[in-house]
Amino acid sequence: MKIIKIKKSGFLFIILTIFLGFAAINTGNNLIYLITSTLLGFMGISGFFGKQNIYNLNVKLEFPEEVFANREFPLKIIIKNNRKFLPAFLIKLKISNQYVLFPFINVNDHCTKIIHVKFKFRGINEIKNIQISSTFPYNFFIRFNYIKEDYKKLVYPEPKKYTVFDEILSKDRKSDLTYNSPYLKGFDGELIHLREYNENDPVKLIHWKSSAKTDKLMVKEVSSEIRKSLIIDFDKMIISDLEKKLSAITYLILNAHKKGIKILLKINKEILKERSLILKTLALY
Amino acid sequence: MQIKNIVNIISYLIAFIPIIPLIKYIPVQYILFFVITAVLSFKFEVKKRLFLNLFAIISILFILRNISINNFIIPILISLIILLSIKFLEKKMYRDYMQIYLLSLLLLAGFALLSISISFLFYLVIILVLLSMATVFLTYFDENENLYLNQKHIFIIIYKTFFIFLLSLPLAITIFIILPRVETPFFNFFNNDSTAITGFTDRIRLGDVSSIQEDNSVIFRVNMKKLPNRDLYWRGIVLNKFNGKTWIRGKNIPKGEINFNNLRLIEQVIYLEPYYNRYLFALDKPVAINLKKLRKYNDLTFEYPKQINKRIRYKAYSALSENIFEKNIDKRAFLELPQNISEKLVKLSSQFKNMKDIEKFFKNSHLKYSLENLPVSDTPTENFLFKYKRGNCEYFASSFALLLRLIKIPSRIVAGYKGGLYSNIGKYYIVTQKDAHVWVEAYINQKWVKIDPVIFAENTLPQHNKNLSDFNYKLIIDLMNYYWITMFINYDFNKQFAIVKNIVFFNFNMLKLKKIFITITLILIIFFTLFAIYKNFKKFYFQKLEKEKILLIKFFEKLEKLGYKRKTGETLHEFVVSLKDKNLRKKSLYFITNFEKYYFKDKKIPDNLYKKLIYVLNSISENSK
Repeated sequence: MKIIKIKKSGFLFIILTIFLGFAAINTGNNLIYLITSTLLGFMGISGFFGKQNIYNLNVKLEFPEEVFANREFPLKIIIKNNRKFLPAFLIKLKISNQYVLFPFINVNDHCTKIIHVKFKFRGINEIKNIQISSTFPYNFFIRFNYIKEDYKKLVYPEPKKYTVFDEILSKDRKSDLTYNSPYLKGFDGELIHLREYNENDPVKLIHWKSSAKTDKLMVKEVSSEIRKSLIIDFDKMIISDLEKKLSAITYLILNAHKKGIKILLKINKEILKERSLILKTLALY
Repeated sequence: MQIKNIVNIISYLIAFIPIIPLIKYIPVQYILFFVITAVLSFKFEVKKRLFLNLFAIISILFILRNISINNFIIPILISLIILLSIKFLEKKMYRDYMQIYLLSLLLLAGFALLSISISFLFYLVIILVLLSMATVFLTYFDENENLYLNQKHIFIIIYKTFFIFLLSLPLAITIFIILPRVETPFFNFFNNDSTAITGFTDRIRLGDVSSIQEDNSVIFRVNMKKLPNRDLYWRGIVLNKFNGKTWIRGKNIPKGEINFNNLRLIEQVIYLEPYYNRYLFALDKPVAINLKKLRKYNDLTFEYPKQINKRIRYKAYSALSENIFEKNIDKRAFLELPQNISEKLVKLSSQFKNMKDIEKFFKNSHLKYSLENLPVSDTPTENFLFKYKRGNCEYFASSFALLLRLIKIPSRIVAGYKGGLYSNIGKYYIVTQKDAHVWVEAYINQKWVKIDPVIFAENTLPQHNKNLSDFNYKLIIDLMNYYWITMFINYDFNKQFAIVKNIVFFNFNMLKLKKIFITITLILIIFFTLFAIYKNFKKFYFQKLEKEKILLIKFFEKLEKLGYKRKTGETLHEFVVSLKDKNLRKKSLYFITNFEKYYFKDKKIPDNLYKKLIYVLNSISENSK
């Protein structure tokens, strides 16, 4: 783990100082001594400030509720400056090989930025070793600090299109939903409550007003009663490749949700009813 | 504001500031060139550098073609200015800005070589403040050229990074003190300069010029206690050979046995300005000067091993005695007469028996002290005594010494300075070039007796330094210069060694230590009190903001009493709309709409509205009754 890296300009600065130092000794000219010692003084104090600048910062990562493997998702980074005197200048974070720059965070203040990240595999994923770096104050040195905290996130399997399921769903819709359900027309029934946005939620369900108020994307949960439900028997599904199987089921769950069909999963002789529980089980399978 | 603009503004300032003190040294066309290119660069930057670089190289070669060891600083400075101008015209990236700063710093260093005045410190401080600011913004610039910073952030950055500068000062001074010094520089051509200063010379020529201009520049400063004016003779060089027009110092100084009867020594610390000669000055009669490799002659002349071309500092010890006892001198060397001595003088001298007679003659001759209409001739002493009867100290002393020799009293001329202005604050004498003076020493009864023949002048002598009030602002400026010199310029190996010695042997004065301790504590107390006041003020300020929060809490409390509780995640508006009581809903709506207008914008609620809101709140509780 790097702690400090000297930039090219830093090397030049050091060489210049050494050169002036020699000039000072050679000539005995105190004015050149004065310049040399100011340069050295600057180097010392800027080193101190540079070091302080990257400490005492809190980094918080906020994941969306549902994250799927191999799908980009917005990751919210909140960085808080806990210091009392020194604002944070030019903080650069390195999170899963992406650099995010925070030009200025005032004392006791925070800053938020969103980056798009992708996890490759399902299961529990970690963001480790977030690197904080800064060239502040003089661009001569880059100083590094690392956040020891690990940010864990359960990643659901990657939803992959599986045409057979499409047929099942559309059939289902034709036969039952369209004709028999007066409630489900366009998902705009009476509002029950608001919740945070998940991927695959239809855009039209976003409640813009409250999203603006809360700074989070909120969606309306409407009162449509799900009429049809579908049970998937995990063990009886004939997809030989496990990952493909998990992906297919995830796809089905998401698509069904869009169409207002409730999916149940029968796995290990248990029937799971809740969407989040099903996805979690699949992720960890 | 875009980061590039901020960087540009500061960079222009940084480049312009070291040019200002250089204006009087650099030919005007180069300054103009710089100004024009700088103004042009506001509008456009040239992307292709080849042409510009070629232009720079050619013009610099042209300037440096007649560089010499005696005159190389100015051509180099001109080259730096041209490079700086061209840098401005180029499309500027991070490194270009850094180069601009480096060039500016070098220009300032060049100024340091040309002038050793305190104004350097002034420019240095400005440049350093700007540099510390510029490099911070440049760091931003390097991260993202198009970064946009709002004004508030810019000010915070400037203000906070100013602390870096402030804190680096004490560190820089500490480093300055401990950086290694050597006793003699390895090579010293930087301070070489072939120009000479008029004033003191190691020979005295008579009859060449008809007037002498007074020169106000400082020749040396002496840190010592105040003495009566009559004692202020600063001895420099003794001249013993006279050819009728010129006094010079003979190569072989005759040696006798010297001793002082009165050894009450006066210590002086002398800061001698570069004056391109070898002789050191000290209060008359100097017994010792502690500088290494110094040559001391029997006539109390001290010779430095080389030309004094930079400011030097030395300690001198002088005996305040009128006479120097010297036995067994070679009298012939001090009785030598010019070859074609005027008959008139020989005739005149035949009337005198001893020195008293010559003094009487001087008193009765109506001689006038003057710096103008001096006798220009080949026989200056004769013309001075018989024809013009006016002259400066050189004429007085030369004639007097010559007459002494004619009556077989050995004599010599001492050249140096007389008088000086005392700074009571700094406790030092300022001696300027116009204080230059010569007097006579006559060898009588085995001792050298000092006579200053100018006192026989009929008119009163010009008193240079009488009008102190007139001089006062100059005194203050000189005081600053003096401290600057004593603290920085003359900080050398010896002082460094002294400091180390002091620390090692705990040679501190306990009283002094106590004083320092008390001052530091006082400063700390003041600092912390100010800090506490500032903190409390902040708290007070925030408490006021809290007023609004309390209002909201009261609002919730009142509604809770009525059985309405806000659910988590419910906005204020949603909550209020859900209230069942129509009257209550109306009041609450009024309350929150007015409240939100200020609260969510982090504004303080104005007093009249606050009263209204309180009123509404109270009416809510009445509602419940």
